[in-house]
Amino acid sequence: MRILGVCLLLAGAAGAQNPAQNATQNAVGPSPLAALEQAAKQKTADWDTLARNLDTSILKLLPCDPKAAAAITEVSRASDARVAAVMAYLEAAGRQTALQTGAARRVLASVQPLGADLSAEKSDLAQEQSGINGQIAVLADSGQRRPAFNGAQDALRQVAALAQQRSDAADSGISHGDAAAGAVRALLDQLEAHEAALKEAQAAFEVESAHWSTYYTTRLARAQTECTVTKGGVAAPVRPPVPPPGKQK
Amino acid sequence: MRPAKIRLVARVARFTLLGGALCLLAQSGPRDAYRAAYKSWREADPALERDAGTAGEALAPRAAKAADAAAAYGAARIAFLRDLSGRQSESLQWLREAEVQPLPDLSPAPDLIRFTNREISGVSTSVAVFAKDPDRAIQQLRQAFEREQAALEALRTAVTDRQKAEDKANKAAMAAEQARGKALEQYPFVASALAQSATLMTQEAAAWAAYYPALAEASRLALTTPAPPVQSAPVAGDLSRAVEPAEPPRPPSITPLPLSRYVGVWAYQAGSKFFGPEPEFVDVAVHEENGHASGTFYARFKLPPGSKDDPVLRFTFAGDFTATRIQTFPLETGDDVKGTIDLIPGGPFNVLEVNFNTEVKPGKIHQGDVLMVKQ
Repeated sequence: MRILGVCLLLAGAAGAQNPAQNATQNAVGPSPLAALEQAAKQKTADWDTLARNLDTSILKLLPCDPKAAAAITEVSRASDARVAAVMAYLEAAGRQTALQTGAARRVLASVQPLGADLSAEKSDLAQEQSGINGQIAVLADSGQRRPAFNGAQDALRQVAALAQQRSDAADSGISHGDAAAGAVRALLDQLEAHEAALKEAQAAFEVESAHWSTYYTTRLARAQTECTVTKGGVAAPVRPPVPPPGKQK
Repeated sequence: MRPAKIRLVARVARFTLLGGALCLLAQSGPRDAYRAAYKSWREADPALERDAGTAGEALAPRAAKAADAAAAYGAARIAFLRDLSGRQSESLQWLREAEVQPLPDLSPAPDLIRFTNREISGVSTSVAVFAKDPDRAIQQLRQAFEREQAALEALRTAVTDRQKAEDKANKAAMAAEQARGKALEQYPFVASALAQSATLMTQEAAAWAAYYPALAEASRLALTTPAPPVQSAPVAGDLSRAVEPAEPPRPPSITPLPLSRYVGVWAYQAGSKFFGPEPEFVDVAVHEENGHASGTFYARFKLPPGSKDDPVLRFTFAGDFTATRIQTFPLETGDDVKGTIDLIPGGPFNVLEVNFNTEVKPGKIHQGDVLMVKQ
C-alpha cells in the first residue's frame, strides 16, 4: 500500500508538470469579454444621447434653473459609467492576454526540448530495431525453414515493419520540430508585445478618463458662474479643477 | 486456438494492464520505465529463438514469460509515447483556439474629437465675446469659459493619445495572430508524427503478443515435422537471406530506405497536410535508373482572391540517390528558375513529403511542402 501511495503521488506530480495541459486549462473558460463589450457599448450609447442633447436642453432653461445643473450632472455620471465600463473591458482584455502569453510560454517549454526528445527516441528505436533483426536472423536459423515457423516469422517481420514506420515518424517529427519551436517562440514574442501594448492603451485610457471628469467639473462650474452673473452678483472664486494624472496640457 | 495458447494470450493481456500501469506510475524519468522494461525483457531469455527449433513443448513456459516481459515493455512504451503525443496535441489544440483579437471600437476617437471640437468652438466664441468686457462678473464668466476650453483641449489630446495606443495594441494583436497562423502551419506535423508513433507502438505491442504464442506453437510442431532440404545455409547477420533464402540476390539499395519509398507516382490528396500555399493538386513522378533519379513536379495552388500570381508550378529534377533518408535533388523550371527538391519518406510506406524551394521570381510560387500519397 505504501508503494502504491508513493506511485500515485509520483503520478500526480508527473501530471502537474505537464505544461501544455496547464496551458489548455488556463486558456479554457467562458470569456467575459463579450458581455463587457456589450455593456461598454450600451453605456457609450447612453452617454452619447445625453451629451448630444445637453446644450439643447440647457438653452431652454433659465441660467439658475436647478434643472440645468442636474442635466450636466446626469451627463457627467453617464460619462463616468461609460468610462468605468470601457475600463472594465480593457482590464479583462489585459488579463486574457496575460493568460495567453503564459500559455504560449508553457507550450514553448514543451516543444523546445522535443528535438532532443526525438533524438533519444531514434536512439532507443535503433536499439529496438537491432534486437528485432537479431531475433529474425536467429529464428530463421533455428527454424530451418520449417512451415511451422512461418507464423512466428511473419509476426516478427510485421514488428520490424512497424518499428521502421515509427522511426520514419520520429524523423518527420525531428525535421519539423525546430520550425515548430521557432514559430511558437515568435508567437510568444508577439504576445508579449501585445500584452505590453494593451497595458499602454489601458494607461492612456485612464488619463483620458480623468480628463473627462475634469471637463464635466469645469462645465458645471461654468453653469454656476452663469447663474451668479445673471443674478447680478460676483461668483465666489471657483476652485480650479484638480489636474488629471499623466499628461497635462 | 489451443487452451494453452488462450491461457498465454490472457496472461499477456492481464500482465499488460497491471505491469504497464505500475511501471508508468513508478517511473522516475520519462523514459526510465520502458527502458527498464525493455532491458528485463531482452535479458530474460536471450536464447529463446535459438532453442525454438529443438525445445518442443518445453518452450511454451519460456515463451509465456517472454510474452509477459514484452507486454510490460509494450505497455510502458505506449504510455510514454501517448504522454508525449498527448502533450503536443494539447499544445496544438491551444494554438487552434488561442485567437488574438484586436480591441473593439468601444470609445470611437473620431466621434469624441468631433464632440470636443464642437464644444471648443462654442466655448471659444464665448471667450472672444467677453474678452474686452471690463465688468468683473463677466470677467469671471470669461475665466470659467477659458477653464472649460483648456479642459476640452487637454481632453482632445488625451483622446488622440489613447487612440494611438489602441492602434499600436491592435497592430500587435494582428502580428500575434499572424505568428499564431505560422505556428499552426508547423505544429500539426510534429503532433501528427508523435500521434502516429503512439498508434504504431500499439500495433507493435499487439504484434508481439501474437508472436510469442506463435513461436511456442511452432516449437511444439517443429519436432513432429522434418525440416525441408536446405538449399543454402543462412548466413548469420545477413537478414535478407536469413528471412527469405529462396529470393534471388538483389543489389543492395543505395538509400537507407527501400527505393520504393521514393520512386513512383505520387499525388496530393485534398485535406492532406501542406506548408505554404494550399495545393489544388500536385502530381510528382520519380524514376530511378542505375542509382540515378529523375522526376517531374506539376502543381496548381489556391491563391488569394484577386491575386495575379501564377498558380501553376512545373519543374523537373534529377540527380543521384544518396545514402541518406532525405533525398535532395536540383530542380529547374521551364523558364530557367533553379532550386532544390527534398523527398522525405513519411511514416506510412505510401506517404512521401515533398519540399521544394526555388529562386524567388515575382508572381511565381517559390516554396512549399506537401504530403503526397503513392498512386
